[in-house]
Amino acid sequence: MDGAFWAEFGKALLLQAGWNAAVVCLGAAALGAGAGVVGVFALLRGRAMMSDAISHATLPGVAAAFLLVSAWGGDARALPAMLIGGSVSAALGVLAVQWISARTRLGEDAAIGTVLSSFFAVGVALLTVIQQLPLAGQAGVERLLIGSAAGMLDGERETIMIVAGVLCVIAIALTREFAAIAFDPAYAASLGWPVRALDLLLMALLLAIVVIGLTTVGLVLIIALAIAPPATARFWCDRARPMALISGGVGAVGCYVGAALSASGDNLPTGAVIVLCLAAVFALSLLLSPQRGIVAALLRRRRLQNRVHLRQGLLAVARSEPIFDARTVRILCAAGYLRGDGAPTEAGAVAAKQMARDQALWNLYRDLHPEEAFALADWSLRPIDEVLPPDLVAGLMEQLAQARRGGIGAA
Amino acid sequence: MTPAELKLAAFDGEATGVAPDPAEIALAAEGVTVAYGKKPALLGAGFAARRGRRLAIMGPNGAGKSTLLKAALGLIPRLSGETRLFGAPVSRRKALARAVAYVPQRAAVDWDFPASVLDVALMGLHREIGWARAPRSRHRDAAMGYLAQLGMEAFADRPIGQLSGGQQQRVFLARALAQNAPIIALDEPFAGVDAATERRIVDLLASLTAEGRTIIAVHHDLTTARGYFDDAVLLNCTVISRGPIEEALSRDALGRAYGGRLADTQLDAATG
Repeated sequence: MDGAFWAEFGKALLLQAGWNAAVVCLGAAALGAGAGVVGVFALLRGRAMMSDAISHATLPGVAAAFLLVSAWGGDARALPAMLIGGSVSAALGVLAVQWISARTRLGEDAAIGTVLSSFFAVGVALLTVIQQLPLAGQAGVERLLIGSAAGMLDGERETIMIVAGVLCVIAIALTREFAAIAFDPAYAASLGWPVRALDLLLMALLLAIVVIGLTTVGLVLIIALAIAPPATARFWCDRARPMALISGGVGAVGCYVGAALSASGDNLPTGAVIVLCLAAVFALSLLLSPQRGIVAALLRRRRLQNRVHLRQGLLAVARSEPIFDARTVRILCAAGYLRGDGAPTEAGAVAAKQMARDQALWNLYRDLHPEEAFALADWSLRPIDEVLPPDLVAGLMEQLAQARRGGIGAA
Repeated sequence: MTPAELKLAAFDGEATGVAPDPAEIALAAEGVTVAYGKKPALLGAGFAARRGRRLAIMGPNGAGKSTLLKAALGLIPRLSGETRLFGAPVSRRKALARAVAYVPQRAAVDWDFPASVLDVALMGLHREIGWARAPRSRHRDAAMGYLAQLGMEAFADRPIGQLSGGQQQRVFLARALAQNAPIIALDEPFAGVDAATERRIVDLLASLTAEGRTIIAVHHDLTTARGYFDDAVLLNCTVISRGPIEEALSRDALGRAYGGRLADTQLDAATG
């Protein structure tokens, strides 16, 4: 990767690397947007692996169409025939999966695995036949396996953009309906919705994405376009519509950058580069998402742990009990509440008194309002004045003082 | 009429002294058989929910309580059986969908789902909103009103993944209320909810029946059944007993439904 490569990459990103590269980048971006949006609903409906079954099930159809067209002496490279063949066999694959999972006690994953591998095996067998026949245009078939954006024609780009646009419009328009059947299919059925038909429509959208993506990304990797962007988007939002938009955006940008990268170097496989770009965004989100990311979760756990140790330590100080946990001692020392010899500092004594008072108030609150206290995430973990309204705290203090004067409720 | 049907007809007469107008039976299911695999989970079972009353579908674990409710609503395939809505056989799924608001078991869905509390409540207004349409402000206001009935309006923008069990159940109920249906069918509405939510749901069901709506609920807690419901069906694969709750949950019927599994204290609590 020398300077020339990066210069070329920069030009490709800005659509300055020539007509061909621009066509490829724009086509890939449209494909990524469509796959990202449709993929969200497949993921939420638990049908993510279905796109794998769909893509692998295109192979026998593609190969058979190639053989048929060749036998009739047509132009063997005729892409439309292969895509139609692929769609037909993929649709058969979807129906086979649904039929098996509806009629048997096998789970859908087992049905998908079986159908996927059988269809793919038929396709591989047909490919071997094709390779042994003296037919022209075999490269066209192999291109559909791993994809190659480099050869994307302007007509293909146009098709991809139109189809992806239509798919996005349908999926976004039906966001609420698709989300509802994904969240609670039994309820959707109770509303009288045609749940099966909606599921089939979703599968049809997914099938359309797979088919328009075959030439660019290839059938082995196309699944990533429908899974990685939605999985990435889930890290950044908590509602279905933003998730669809973010996922579409991630897919578009990932595919655009991936296509630009692969256009800048010789022999960089487009599909693989695109998928690696999407995987990188996914990995970053997995780590860095503020709500659902791994780093944030670790930090949250750590903060909670520290808070619990601080609380336990200060309560022990307030009761003049010894502290044995080394971590508690360390945290109290770091906060300036304990001296090196284990005796509380002045600040420590004040904080301990405050903590004991908070705890007594929290306990009283729990005794008086058990339901509310139970529902409160911060019960007894944060200073009570920060969590409850001042008048409520004042009331609790009053009651606590009364209880102490009366010598009852010393709990 | 088969002997079983004759007996049922006789029961319906007994309850009121005269045979009730069939239209007074809001929802009835008769002769319902459902099999998972080879073994029937439910054999010729049924219920008749009378208008303006609360019916409990009860029985031991695995008795087919939820199955009966779902089969009556056409949500799972049945081998036999018929559903009647206000006395008329249900020919179209749509009629049932308009008349019955269904509240699924809370645990049946994945709550880590990208939706807000308001989003879920708005599902109940889908008929007004329409297909592929965004909800308007009046729909939002209406949904907020139903959430407020369950004390959940302050949570409207919360992701549903952050709710407690009781709050989840309240959201489900708000969604069902939004359908404004004459019949509300609930699957284990009290399972895993806090005491305050349980109280709230009980009061809500009572006020709904006072408005003339009909409540059907799968319920497993024998100790609370008498206070919460007016009528009951006691199931164990077949119907053991049905009728006003005092009669349906008689010592004899409970003994037959549960075998020897109930302690005397439980029987005392259930039979009052």
